[in-house]
Amino acid sequence: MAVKKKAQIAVTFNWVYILIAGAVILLFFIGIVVKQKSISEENLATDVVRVMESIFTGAGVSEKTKNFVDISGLADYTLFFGCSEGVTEYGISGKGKPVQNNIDPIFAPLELKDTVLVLWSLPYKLPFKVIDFTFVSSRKSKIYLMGNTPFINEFINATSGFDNIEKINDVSEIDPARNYQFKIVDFSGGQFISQGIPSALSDVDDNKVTAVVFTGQDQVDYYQKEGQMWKKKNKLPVRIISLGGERDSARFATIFAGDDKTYVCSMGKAFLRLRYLLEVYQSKLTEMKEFYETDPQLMAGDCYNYISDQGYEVNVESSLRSLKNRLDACLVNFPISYDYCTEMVGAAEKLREANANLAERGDCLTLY
Amino acid sequence: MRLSKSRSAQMEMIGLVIIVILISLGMLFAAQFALKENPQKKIFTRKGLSYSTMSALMKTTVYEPGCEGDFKSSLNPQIGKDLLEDCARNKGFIQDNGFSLYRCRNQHTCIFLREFISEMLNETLGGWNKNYEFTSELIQAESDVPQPLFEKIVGSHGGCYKKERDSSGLFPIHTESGLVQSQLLLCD
Amino acid sequence: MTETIAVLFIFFILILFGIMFYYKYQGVAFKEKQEELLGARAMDTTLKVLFLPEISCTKGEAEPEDNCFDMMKLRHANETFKKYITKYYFNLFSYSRIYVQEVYPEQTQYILYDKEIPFLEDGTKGWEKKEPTFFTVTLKDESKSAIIPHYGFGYVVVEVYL
Repeated sequence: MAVKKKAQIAVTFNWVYILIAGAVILLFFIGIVVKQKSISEENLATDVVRVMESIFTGAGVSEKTKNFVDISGLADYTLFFGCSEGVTEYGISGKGKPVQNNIDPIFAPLELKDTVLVLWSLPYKLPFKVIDFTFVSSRKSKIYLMGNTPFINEFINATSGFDNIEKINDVSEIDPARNYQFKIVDFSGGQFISQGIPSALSDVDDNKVTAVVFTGQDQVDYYQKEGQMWKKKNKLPVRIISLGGERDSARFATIFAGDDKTYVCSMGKAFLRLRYLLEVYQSKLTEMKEFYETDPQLMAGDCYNYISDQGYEVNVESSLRSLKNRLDACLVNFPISYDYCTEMVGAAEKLREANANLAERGDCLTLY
Repeated sequence: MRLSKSRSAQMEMIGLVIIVILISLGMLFAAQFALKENPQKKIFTRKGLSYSTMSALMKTTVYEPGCEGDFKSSLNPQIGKDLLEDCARNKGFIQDNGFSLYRCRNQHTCIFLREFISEMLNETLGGWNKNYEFTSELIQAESDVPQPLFEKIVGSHGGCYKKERDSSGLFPIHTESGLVQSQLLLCD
Repeated sequence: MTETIAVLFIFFILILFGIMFYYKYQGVAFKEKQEELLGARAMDTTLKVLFLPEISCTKGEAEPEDNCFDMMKLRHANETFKKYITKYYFNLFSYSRIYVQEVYPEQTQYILYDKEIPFLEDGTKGWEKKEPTFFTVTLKDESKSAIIPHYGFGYVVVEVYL
């Protein structure tokens, strides 16, 4: 009898041991799986951001080409873009290591959540090409253009294929549908600002409703929704530093940029690049002058007069020097000294004129 | 006997489980290796290289002795603009002392072109162990059949037979004698 | 009992083999990933060099020529790159060597950028591998004639260090 009881207890304990051992092994493997899952997610996020960096590099140099990047795998994640102290940072919110880029000016909303990323780049010229601006948008980042200016049609034609840009006559025409964020770009003085947030957007999160108002030929103000009112983000109007003309990348950038700070920050990158570029062009100018100075006949010609500061009033040498001086003033305490950068426009225009004079002749060396 | 049989059966079960685990692991690793990405970037680079090489070649200005041409033509001819046209126009005289407007290296333009382009491609693509083929053909108005201006140039590492290839695209030049189409094929 | 222990022993030996195999595989996979990243970096750097405003050809307000370097800028660009390598150009090119080899008419080499991974403390090379990328370019030289620019033939080499 006692033997039987002992056997029964022994068997029960065996099962208990088996259960404990099994549970421990199971927990061990579950622990490994969970750890691997989070490591994989981090790796995936880092991989994605690295691939984005590569895509941005490619998109950045393939000027005027629109790149549509399928990010449906990241539909549940939010991409963020920021720029501070000359460094753009972008990545997946809360995951992976973001990319930091202090070279390429990237104009993008502060946050993005979509299945298709739209990348586009345009060269920034002042007056020669300085750098490519990369514009980032997405199908669900809706942009509404209001006003009656040829620029609106130019912008809409240039951005055909984006599918998120619409011209409206009044804010009442806005239909949020299932879009992620909204931007109203106004060319008619910003009268809608005093009317408050359009009713269609009243329930949307504050950080997803922004506005850009062109208050003059070359200046804009940025607004963000705050409750039911608009709050101006910039203290002073943000100046657009460009020579105008078709496909003015600096002007386009004001629309794609998340806010005034990121716009100015990215423009700063372009100006920094211009500083180094000017040195190269200065060397080229020296070589151009030497070319003409080797022959007294050539020195007496129009070509040399358009190049040398001893020649005609509008000449390459003095315009280039002037541009450099204005640029130095612009960068001395950037971004605080941003408004000084507008002085560069005049110098760039003179340089463009001098170069065009050289090109027109057909037998002169040109700076660019 | 029954007890021993049940023990053997248990051992067999464990053995089977282990084998299943090993096979699953093996398949997992095999699947990872099998699902390698296609080398899209490689194809893009090859196409880009092919186009850029062709474009650079066509623009090259030649400084060889004898390249002066006549008083109407430029002192230093370009391969695409001047020499190919000269070759197309004077294709019928393709001998060493045959007539051509340009006599670079004292040779008929077509002979010089083949030699020069071979040298350029050999120093670049050939030096990088690439396989390539360069062709230049004349399509005359009267006939549909393209006539090669000179013998096809094949890389020292081989041509493009039965291999993945990328073309530079056709670089057409309109001449008095017809349309000259040049193409560079790059392949692995 | 003995058979059970034996079976368990074999089982754990097999687990050990599995772990060793996985460890080796991870090592190989890591090396492959490094190579892949190096290749991607080489591609990206080459792309950046081909479109660098400091050396690219220009045509006034018109569209610039593709895959073309302006010799009048190229001859001096390396001075600028060297001067601002720490401040700016290192962020663009990282550890790499970029040079343009003229093939025709001259055979001149123009080293644009050269930043090797520094030597280690024990004096050994800081890099174990370099991946070169070659791309043919046209070299436009306006200093030979102001009327019609002259075009040379060459290639750019971008070597990235690992």
